[in-house]
Amino acid sequence: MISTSFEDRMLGEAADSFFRGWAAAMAGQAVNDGLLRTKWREMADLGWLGMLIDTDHGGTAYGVRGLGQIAEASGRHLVLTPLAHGAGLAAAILAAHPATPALSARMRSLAAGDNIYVAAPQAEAEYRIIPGAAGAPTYVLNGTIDAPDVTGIADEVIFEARPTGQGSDLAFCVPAQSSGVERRLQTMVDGSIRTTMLLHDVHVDRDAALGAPDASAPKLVALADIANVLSAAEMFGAAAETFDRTLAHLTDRRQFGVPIGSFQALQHRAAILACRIELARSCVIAGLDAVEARQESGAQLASLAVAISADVFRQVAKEAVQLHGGLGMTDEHAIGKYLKRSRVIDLAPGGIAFHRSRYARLTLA
Amino acid sequence: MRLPLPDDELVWGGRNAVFWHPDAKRWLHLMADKGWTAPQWPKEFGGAGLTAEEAEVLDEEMRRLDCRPPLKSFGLTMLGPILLQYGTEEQKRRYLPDIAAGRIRWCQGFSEPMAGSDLASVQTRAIHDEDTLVITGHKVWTSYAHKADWMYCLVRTAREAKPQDGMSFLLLDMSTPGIRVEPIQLISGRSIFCEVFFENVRVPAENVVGTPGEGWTVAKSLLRHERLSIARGAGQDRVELREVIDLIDGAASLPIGTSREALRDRAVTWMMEEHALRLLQQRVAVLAQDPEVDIPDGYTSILKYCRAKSNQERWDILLDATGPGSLALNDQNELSAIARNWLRARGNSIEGGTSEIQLNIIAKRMLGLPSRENSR
Repeated sequence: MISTSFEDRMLGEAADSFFRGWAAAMAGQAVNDGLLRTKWREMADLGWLGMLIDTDHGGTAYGVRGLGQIAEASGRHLVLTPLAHGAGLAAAILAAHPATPALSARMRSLAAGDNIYVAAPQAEAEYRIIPGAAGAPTYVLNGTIDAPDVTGIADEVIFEARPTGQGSDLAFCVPAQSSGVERRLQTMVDGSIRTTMLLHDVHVDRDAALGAPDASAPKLVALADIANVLSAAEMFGAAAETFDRTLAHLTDRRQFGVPIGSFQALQHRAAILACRIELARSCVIAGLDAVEARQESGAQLASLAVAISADVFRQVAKEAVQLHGGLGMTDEHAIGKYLKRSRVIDLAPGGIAFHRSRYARLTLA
Repeated sequence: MRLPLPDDELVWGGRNAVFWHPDAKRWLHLMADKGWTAPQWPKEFGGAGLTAEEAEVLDEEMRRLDCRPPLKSFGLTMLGPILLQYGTEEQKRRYLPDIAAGRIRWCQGFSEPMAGSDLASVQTRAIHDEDTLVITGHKVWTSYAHKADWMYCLVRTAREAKPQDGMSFLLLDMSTPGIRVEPIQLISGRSIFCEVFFENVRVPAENVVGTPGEGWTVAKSLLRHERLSIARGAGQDRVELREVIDLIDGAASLPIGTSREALRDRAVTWMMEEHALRLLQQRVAVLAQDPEVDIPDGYTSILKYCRAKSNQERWDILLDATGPGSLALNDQNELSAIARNWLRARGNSIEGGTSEIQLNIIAKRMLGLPSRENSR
């Protein structure tokens, strides 16, 4: 658990049993879009999607820390969801803009789970404005979006584009099925699907832009740490579960007539992993708290949380396979899935290397 | 770069207290008068009777003003809490106010040549002679024994089947006849560590703290305080990333093939682990504030293990960052500050319970892994 408050603990326990059930229904598949849609609506009904949306727009305004508990539970059960970049970042960027009727409708739709929204901070896109029908401007978009996990299923993708000429950067919310959107899907080693979206002269109307080209708009990058800490919480959950399962194996598995966990060599390896799990837990808690409170240190702590949690997850997963012995190498056993996930999970927030150098830059600034 | 406060600028108090500056003495007296050397102890025993929250405010203000600690003392951090928990009224009244005011300086007599990690093998004997205990034996690694007024120690009062039984936790005056102290020279040079020899040293039996024969319980509780204070204390001479990077960038001569880029990367990786550890320390400190919560042994062991590791990596990096120059002896044949600290840091994973012992504690008490005896 990554919180000590009673409410958060209750939320974490509810989320844990929710994702346990979801994982069981997946029966070993990594992706099941139909099930994701059903479950996403259930999450909306539980009030989990609108935690960063105010009550006027169908949200619960519970905050980032609450979402963190849910992200941790999803990580524990290896359930891939658009939580970090959807209920987290997409909701945050919508809520940060002045509420036009179109924007309000999107917030309600996100909180209700009607449409799946995903925000992609890693985009290289440009927009230009051409006169449209009835004098309303039309935006023409081109570029590449390196989309986070499970963006393949998103109905609406939010990203930032810079103007071809004069003007300010703008955030756009574009239907994934728009004409001119090409999606390249790549199935990864853990079964997750990595999506690259190419925009070829995608025409969208005024409402697709979240702000106006002349106004100073909220920046996606300024909010990206919401997605970063949630990804870190997910990684921590996955690492903690990998460790718990390994500990159970050390206790249950007998060789030479004794539980293998009674051998000091293995005890020490488990204890070293326990140290690193606690370090990661502290980083994730501090990151969630700082981002929740909008502290200046939020960016540095979010990058710390991502880099440490990702590194700890990798280490724990490698050790887990070794400590499970031959069992850990079999496709049938779940522990190998955690190993595979440990290498892919940090791509969504941008990778360990990116966050390490971002941490250094922010610390030395 | 900030190095640890030099030992001669710390205020240890005691009968023969040495103050490096008159203001240090005034500072101690001002603070002790308010009970702020032991903020959370009851007022009647020289404390200020503050709650945990109030003590934290005091601590924060002192940090903000960059105040030096008025008094550094094993009495404050280790023996005091033990006396509050296990001491008789008479013992509390007799020792606690003197500790809070810095009038007695304490040392800790636990380790022996044959009782290091295996602390339960303590051989130093205490034989009853009416109301007196007669001590004979040999303690080692006793920090500041040559400067201490009193010692709290673990002595064997009976031979029992289990080595943990039959030990008592005893307080004794270091000026008692029959005690000989010899300082130990370390790989890092002169040290604060000593050997202490006892030959028929007569100590009043009323100086036993807790139940006679059950000193192991008292000592274990004290070791938890020791680990916690080791884990916390190391934060005081902290170094920031900027300082390490400046050292790396400014180093005049690095050996051929050394990449500054690789060194900087290593420094960043270390700093992130160090930052994570500081966050963990804060989290455990908050847990420890709650009197209802008994911090699991595992947490203090995790802090102790990680602190030693991080500290050692820190001095390894600084040694690499400053080049062969810091390995050279000066004209007086002395080690450089960095070399001395680097060598000294190797002891961090040995003192106060080795890293291996910490891993044992984590595995057994926190993770609940089975021990060999039970599994047969």
